[in-house]
Amino acid sequence: MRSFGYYWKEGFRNIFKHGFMSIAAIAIMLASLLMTGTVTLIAYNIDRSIVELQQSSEIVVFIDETLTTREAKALSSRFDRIENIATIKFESRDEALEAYRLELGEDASILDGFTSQNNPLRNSFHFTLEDPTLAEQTLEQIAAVDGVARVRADEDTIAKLVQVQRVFNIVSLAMVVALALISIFIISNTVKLAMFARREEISIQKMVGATNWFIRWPFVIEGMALGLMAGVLAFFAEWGVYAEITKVASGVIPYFKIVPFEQLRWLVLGVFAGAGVLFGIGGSVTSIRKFMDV
Amino acid sequence: MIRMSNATMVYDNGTRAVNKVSLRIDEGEFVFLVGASGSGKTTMIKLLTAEVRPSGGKVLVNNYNVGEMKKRQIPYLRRTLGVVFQDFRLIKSKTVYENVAFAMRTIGARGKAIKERVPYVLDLVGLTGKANEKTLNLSGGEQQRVAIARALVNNPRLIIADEPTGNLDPARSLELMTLFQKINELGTTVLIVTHEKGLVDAFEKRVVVIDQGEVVSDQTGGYYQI
Repeated sequence: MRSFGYYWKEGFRNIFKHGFMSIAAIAIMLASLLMTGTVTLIAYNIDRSIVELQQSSEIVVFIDETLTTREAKALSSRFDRIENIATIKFESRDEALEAYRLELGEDASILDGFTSQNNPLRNSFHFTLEDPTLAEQTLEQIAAVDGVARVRADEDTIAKLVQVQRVFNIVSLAMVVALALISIFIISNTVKLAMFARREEISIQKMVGATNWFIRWPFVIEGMALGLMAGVLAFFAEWGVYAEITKVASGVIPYFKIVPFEQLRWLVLGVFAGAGVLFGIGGSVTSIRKFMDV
Repeated sequence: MIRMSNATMVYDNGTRAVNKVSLRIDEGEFVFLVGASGSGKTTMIKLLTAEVRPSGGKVLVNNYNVGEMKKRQIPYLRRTLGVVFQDFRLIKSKTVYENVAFAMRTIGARGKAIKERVPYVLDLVGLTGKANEKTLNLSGGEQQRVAIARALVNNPRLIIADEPTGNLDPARSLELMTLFQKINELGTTVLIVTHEKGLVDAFEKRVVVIDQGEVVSDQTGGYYQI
């Protein structure tokens, strides 16, 4: 415990004493965190949009004409029991005719001959799903309900979106892993260079009887402090980059909704600071090992 | 102090640097270890400081069994030793005072103890006036005195000097040997590795001669003979 103050003093003194290496280490960690963070945040937003898109894909269920509108509406309680259904909306045949008229606009006159007595349209239910990957099973359960005449679902679109989401998740995960590995490699080499510059000092410490942890602690504290600084700086840089991405994305794809940074900032700050500290300590500890064998 | 019995050191490449050496050095002795280049002197020192472990036999230093001790015990063995190297191994960016204090701080000494002990050893080696100088600005002889002060500061039982005069002129070498003699008279055991015949002859101490990894002569008050 007597040496605790010494470790901190030495750790922070080393940061300033080897200013250039410290700046290089911070810059590399900052760049790595920024790249990894940006890819992750973009992946998160795209993933979220895909999920929204999947959830908004409607399944339309047409009810047999033999059932009255009241009987058809009563089927709602049967559909309620199906687990994967997120929302249920009933549309009566009259509402459907009205909606069709509105949709046709100027051409609505072609429907002039149709009234509620000779309405050719069916009562229907419109569903959205909680988990689109389970669409097939849910559709089977819906079709099994008595009174269902036909189920219209954009199964192909849903399947494609699920596929896109899977591919995107794999690609973004691979990118994050690759960037993290590259970061650790670069940081470990940067720290190794710093250690190499101080190998003489370490060998003298070993020769006069310093324990390995006595030598290690200042480097661990130095790595931790550098990592923390890089993490905090990367957080502010990410804020700026994210704002730019939001601006560009909303200009290019207007319906692409990006989560505001304010909603994510504490999470991003925590992850960046934590990753910076871990990278810094990890880089120091793994690099120093080779200089300890004296 | 030092007990070597049938100590052998064979490196991974097959070189037998030390071959069945038996040697005993008692507390308070002053011993020269001499031999030609490649005779095994440096490996002997490495065995004593636990930089290498013996391949066979036994090496006991200040009651630590070098062959059997755990890795984590090595720092504690080294705290009982003071090692001086030919190339001084000082930290150039630090002052004389800081270099010596660094050795005390490294083993967790208190600030108060450092403030008391460092001026005392600097005085002992004749460097009181140079305490605040950067070691880079000192002469070779002065740098070696800093190294000796650093070796002494933790009050070791044994000082091991590996070719300490190798980079010094004859006058400075003689001065330095006189300093080692003074340290020995104050009660510290001294083991000096050298191949400077003139110096060894001048001091008439115990001389252990090593050749091809074996002790070929061990004479107290004897002369350097290879």
